[in-house]
Amino acid sequence: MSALDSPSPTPSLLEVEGLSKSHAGIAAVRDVSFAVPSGGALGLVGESGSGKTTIARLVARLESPDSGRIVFDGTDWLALRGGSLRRKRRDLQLVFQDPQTSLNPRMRAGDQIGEPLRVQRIARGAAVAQTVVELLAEVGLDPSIARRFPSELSGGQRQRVAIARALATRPKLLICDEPVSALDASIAAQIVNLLLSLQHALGLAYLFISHDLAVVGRVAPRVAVLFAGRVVEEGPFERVAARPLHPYTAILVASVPSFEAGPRVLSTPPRGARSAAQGVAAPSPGCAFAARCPIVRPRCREEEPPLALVEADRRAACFYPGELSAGL
Amino acid sequence: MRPPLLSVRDLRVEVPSEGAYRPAVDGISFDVAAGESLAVVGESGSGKTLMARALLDLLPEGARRSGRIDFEGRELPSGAESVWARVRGRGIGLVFQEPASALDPVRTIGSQIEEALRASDRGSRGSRDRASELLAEVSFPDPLRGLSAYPHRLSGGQRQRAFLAIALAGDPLLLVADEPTASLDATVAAEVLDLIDRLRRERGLALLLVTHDIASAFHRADRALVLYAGRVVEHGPAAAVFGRPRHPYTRALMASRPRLSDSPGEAPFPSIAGSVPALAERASGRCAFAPRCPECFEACRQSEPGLAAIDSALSVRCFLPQT
Repeated sequence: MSALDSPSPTPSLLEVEGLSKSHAGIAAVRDVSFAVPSGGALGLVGESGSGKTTIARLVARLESPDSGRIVFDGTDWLALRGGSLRRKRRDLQLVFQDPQTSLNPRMRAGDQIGEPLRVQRIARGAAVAQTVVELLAEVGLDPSIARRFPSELSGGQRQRVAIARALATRPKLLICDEPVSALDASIAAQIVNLLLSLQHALGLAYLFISHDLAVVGRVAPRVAVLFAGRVVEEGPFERVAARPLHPYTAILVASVPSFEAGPRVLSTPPRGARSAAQGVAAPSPGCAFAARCPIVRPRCREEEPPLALVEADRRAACFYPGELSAGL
Repeated sequence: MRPPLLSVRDLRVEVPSEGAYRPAVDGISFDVAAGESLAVVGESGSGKTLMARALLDLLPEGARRSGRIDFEGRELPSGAESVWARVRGRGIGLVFQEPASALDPVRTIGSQIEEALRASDRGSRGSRDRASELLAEVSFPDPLRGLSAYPHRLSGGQRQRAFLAIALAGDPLLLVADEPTASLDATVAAEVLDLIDRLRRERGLALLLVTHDIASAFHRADRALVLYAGRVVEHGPAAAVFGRPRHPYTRALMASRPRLSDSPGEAPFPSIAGSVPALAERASGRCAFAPRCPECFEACRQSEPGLAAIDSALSVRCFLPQT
């Protein structure tokens, strides 16, 4: 099953197909495929150890995959080398969870925002300072912020600086890895709103990665759910959230705190000493979720369900799709 | 009338900041009845964690507290170590956000539970059996093996369960849980909150749940205390506070939590401009929330509203509480 044949109203900016990566013999990412439309957004949701950060690093070419193909903006992204890779990197930038660690503590905010302009030889001299002021305004910060060090900024201001820095090269795609997880709800809401308005203003596309399904839903019309390095469900966010097909998605949906409904308790069997969500050294033949699945059957322990089209525009890797959410 | 299990009056915690002692917790009063659950909600800078630590006399170096804390009808004076040791062992159990740093990394879970049993005079014969019973009570998988496990071998959820077992060793009457799920994945967080609910029902435990996640507090609390910049802004039954929030800050906080039923993309969702002011930037003589408040008017900048009773159970600190 390929992400390339999913019906998509706009052409894809990023197409990932069959991506796999092991770390020290442990499969972190297995046969992952997805697409991000131009100017659109795809959400990747999963818990720690699900492979979402490895996927961000692979797409950003901070690591090389063991296998798989990435087409970015019409180019064979993994084949680019040298000057053409350096130039194309302008089009793809990253925003991390904690700007405290991604920003240099000894460098003023303005110098960090201007650094990609100099490195990429987009601007020099006074033009850099002018562009930095424009970038600060774009992310809703006062020009005076340029002179401050990261330690003199609030968490929300630091994340705005990290976004301004990512925007400096005028990218087409931003990979946002847990961009609001370290922030309070009101500040997280401000950052999500900023990302949405930048998307409209600049035609940016997002690969938006988070453990928080509700936050993903604010940004991404389409979501892929990761479990143990695999995509276990993929489809339009509203339909996935309203009626999950994979039992893991159903449990994820039920664990989102809500003001409307009371807590919906879905008990899962206790886990072993290592979370089943983490990669496994020697994959057992069955479904990786079997040990936690409330509706597990003998077949699930013998063969791994493929990611298959279950209904129009929706895929799930489960032999009994929709069964658990029907019982909620 | 029986006194409440915990009574806090005019609690104030001052910490050194930019050359002066400044109140991070500024005159907080509330009660917790036996078996009752109180959710304390607010963002970073609200003072909620310092407040929780003051309830166990575990304030950081340099902080000083005033005000009165009574537990089971007796005053707990600041710094009275023998009194507090007894309260921490038997009266009030504590669970933090990050069990990885609260558990001793070089000792087994079993020996840490047994130490807690000894500290509460419940560690005589058969303390190992009692420790494994406690692990079973918190649904720790394979309790007997868990006793000999070291913290780093456990998942985040298991560490939090082990931490809960230690907190329960002294059969406390009140559990203070400070962001117990903030470092956990969503599905594990829901399991741990469900576990705390079950322990409350089975043991008749009172709970003080400190959280930034107002939605997870909503269905698990009898009453709610909303803090802003060290002050109580809304206090009352959880159903009233969250069902019909009167203070603009409570409303804004609820609106800024995304919901699954929201549509992706299009309209920006409600957010509060600005952030909680730093300690040195808190001006007295006006509402602390005024600079961020969408409903702020002249009076809010000229004087600070008092915490006023809306009815017998509900109070709000606002000149224009929504009715």
